[in-house]
Amino acid sequence: MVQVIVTTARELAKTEVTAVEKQLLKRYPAGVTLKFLVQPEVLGGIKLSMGDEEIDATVLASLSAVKQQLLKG
Amino acid sequence: MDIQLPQIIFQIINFGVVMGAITFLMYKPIQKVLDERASKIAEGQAAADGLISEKKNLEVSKLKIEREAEKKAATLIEEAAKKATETKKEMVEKAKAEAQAEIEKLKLQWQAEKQQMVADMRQEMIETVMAVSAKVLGSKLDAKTDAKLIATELDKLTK
Repeated sequence: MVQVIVTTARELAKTEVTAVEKQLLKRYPAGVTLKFLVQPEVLGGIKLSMGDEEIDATVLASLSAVKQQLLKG
Repeated sequence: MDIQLPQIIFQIINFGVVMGAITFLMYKPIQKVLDERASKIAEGQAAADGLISEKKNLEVSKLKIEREAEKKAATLIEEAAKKATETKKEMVEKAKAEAQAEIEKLKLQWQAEKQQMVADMRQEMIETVMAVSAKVLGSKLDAKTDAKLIATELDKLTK
């Protein structure tokens, strides 16, 4: 079983929770344990934390990436 | 008046004896003293002449030494003046170089400060733009759009 922390800006609807679980099971067929966190500061999108691995697809992460690019340029 | 020959002869002999005595006892010692005196005077004169000659030589030497000293002093003064001019020139050049180095340093410092200022302004501007963007996005991003965004990201996860 893989424990996944799901972070979003708002509380997900049941259908969305199901969709998240379904997609994660495709990736981790052995099973997943989900823990949901609501952090409005991420603005939108989703962040998945699985142990050392992290997939950050939030609006805040995108903005941070844009900001880093602007600062570099 | 009778002329008595023996008396005359006696007088002549008497005069001769007195003359001989005077010559022997007085003339020779006096002559000797006078000769010695003349000799001493001549010696003194010679010594005086020698001293005068020596004095003249000394004066000539003095003049020569004075001229050499003056010449040497003039050379020393000239050398000192030359050296002073060179030193002055070196000091001026050194001061110029130092001033130039200081100007270059200040220029570099100013450029660095300017660059830092521009970088700070840029960062501040980016921070502001990002903050505004976050606020705008936060207010504009509704649940429906967010749901679409999440679905898209989840699709990417399995691909």
